[in-house]
Amino acid sequence: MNTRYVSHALKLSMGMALGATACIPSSAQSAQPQPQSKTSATKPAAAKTDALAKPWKPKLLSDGQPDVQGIWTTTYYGMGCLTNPTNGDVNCVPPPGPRPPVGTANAGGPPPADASGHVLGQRGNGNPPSIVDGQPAPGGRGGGQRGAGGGQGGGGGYGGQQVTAAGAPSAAGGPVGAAVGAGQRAARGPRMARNAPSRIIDTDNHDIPYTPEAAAHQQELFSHYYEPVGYGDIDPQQRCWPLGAVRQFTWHDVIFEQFPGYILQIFEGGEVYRIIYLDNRPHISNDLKLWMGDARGHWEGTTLVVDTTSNNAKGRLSRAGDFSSDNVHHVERYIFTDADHFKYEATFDDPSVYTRPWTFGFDEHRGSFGGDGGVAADGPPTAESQAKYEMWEEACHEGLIPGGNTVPSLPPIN
Amino acid sequence: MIVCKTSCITLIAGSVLVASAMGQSARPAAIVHSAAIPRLADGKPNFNGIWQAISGADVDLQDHAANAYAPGAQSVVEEHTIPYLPDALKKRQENYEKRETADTETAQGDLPGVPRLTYAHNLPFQIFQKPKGDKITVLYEYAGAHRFFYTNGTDHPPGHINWWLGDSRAKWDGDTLVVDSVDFLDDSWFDHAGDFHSQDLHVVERYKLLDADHIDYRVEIDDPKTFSKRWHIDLILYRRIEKNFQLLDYYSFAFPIDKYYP
Repeated sequence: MNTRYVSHALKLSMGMALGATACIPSSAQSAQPQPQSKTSATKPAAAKTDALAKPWKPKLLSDGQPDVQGIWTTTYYGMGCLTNPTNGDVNCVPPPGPRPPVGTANAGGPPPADASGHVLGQRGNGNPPSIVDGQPAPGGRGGGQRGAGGGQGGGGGYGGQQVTAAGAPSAAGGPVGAAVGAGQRAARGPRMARNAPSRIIDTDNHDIPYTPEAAAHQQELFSHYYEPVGYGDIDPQQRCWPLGAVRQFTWHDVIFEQFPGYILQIFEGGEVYRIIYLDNRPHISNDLKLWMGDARGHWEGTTLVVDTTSNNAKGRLSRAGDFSSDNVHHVERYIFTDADHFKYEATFDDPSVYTRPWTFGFDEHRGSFGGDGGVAADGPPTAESQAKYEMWEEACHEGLIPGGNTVPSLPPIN
Repeated sequence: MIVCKTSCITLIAGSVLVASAMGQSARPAAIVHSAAIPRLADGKPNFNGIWQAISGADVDLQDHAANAYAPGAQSVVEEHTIPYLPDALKKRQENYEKRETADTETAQGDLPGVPRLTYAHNLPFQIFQKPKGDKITVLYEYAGAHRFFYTNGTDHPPGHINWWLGDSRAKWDGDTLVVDSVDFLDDSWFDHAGDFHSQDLHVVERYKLLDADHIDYRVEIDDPKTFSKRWHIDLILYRRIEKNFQLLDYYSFAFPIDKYYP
């Protein structure tokens, strides 16, 4: 599986339209935290080209849906730490003691590397949307080509920042810190952490507005990430269980298929799918909970709006213990800006856990694949290779995890 | 939601067919009737909808009496018994003895392979097909599984690949959708009774609409390492026509999830 991927960056470097390159991370992330947008218009902080300024006029399918079929991928992979999604291989190592105060979090740059070259992230106030890839990974690692172990890791090591590997103009009109020279990007050196905007896009500190009780629970889970004191401390993703409607997007790619009355989302990571019903049928009872929830959608122009209830919330939101309860209600907005990009915003409304609704957001772009139908990719993607790409089985079963279900440091499961 | 224009007829026919499937032997050819089948704009039979098996196949493909685990049922194997090679038959018996723990479908909810996914726990699945599409997508309630039946003329990828659900390439034989699958791993069983295969398994499924709401599902199993000759499974798949019926989810785990993740 892993070798089939060729960086989206390559596609960018092949001379894609300006309108596409304008949607790379630095520009696609807005300069200011945005409350959830009510229109399909975006406010990219940088490099707004004429092409992007024009509303996208999609090809329409027979039932009137904008055609958004194909394979999509998250601009920043990483599910370790929502507030700094790509900060190194190991994210969100818990700092001792309480959360760091406002202003002292890792925004602006990761903490210094230790003697082994590791950079430890920390949980606290999230990275602002203006943060950019100030310290790129060594060449070859940051361009979306997956490394070994892609099946079960799903952590910070994948994908990465197309802006970096492509040498694309991330600094064009970009926010503070964007002006990192191309030479610096290309530099080889010890593996270094990178930064990405917090996935929480509409709170003042770019973090989740937990109630005090919920924050204590999250911190308890968080503090036992490396040394679990109970099986419940372990992120269910490590057992390959479904991640839930929103987090699943941060684990590898997703195919959108459209049929009259339906949008299907078939996720590569862990082999799960969602069916989004567009036929105005009522939700199932909220007493009946599902791993991926119960999704009803409709189109508002080129924005797909999806209302999801019946979430069982067994899947957490990150490796760091972030969670919802099964009361959570999502409204997702897929704001398509052109044929190859959309902004994703999902509200988390759950008064039993959060003091206010908040929004989980990131950018997605089309996956791009080279080689023979994506197999053994050598060489740049072409229209032909893209058309031939097939998403192959990436089964992930609990029993396949090395060591099985029992953790040596914990009592046997019974 | 699929709205079935022939629902009244179907209810009657369906009940007859249910009785037939439960009470008669495996071969459903006798119940074929000449009702018109739905078609897509490209003229191909339209399989869109939610389908479900009603059979004892997931418990045991062959004759089995009722017990505390499941009701009894007659064999769905056309040849009545599975033509195992001698050593393979011994292994099948060993599997049967340890089925409570060794059947990965029931013990830990693993993907059950093909064709078992079609009748695993008799759970519903939904077929998504479009005119002149390059593939047919099938979503299963079992374990959130999906299969793609590529109809674009492509062949299986090179080499043996170990996949739970194999690699499926489809073509049309008249009005019958023929799905050819290889590249299986050998961990999955055909049923809870220990019927098994090697990595050389080659499955050919034939989906044929009998009318708007019934599919004749005939499967050829070929695996020279395990069987002395090819053999066949034949089931009827029934359309779910209840208003607002939809797929839910069925995930099961060996791990006691409710205990540790309340």
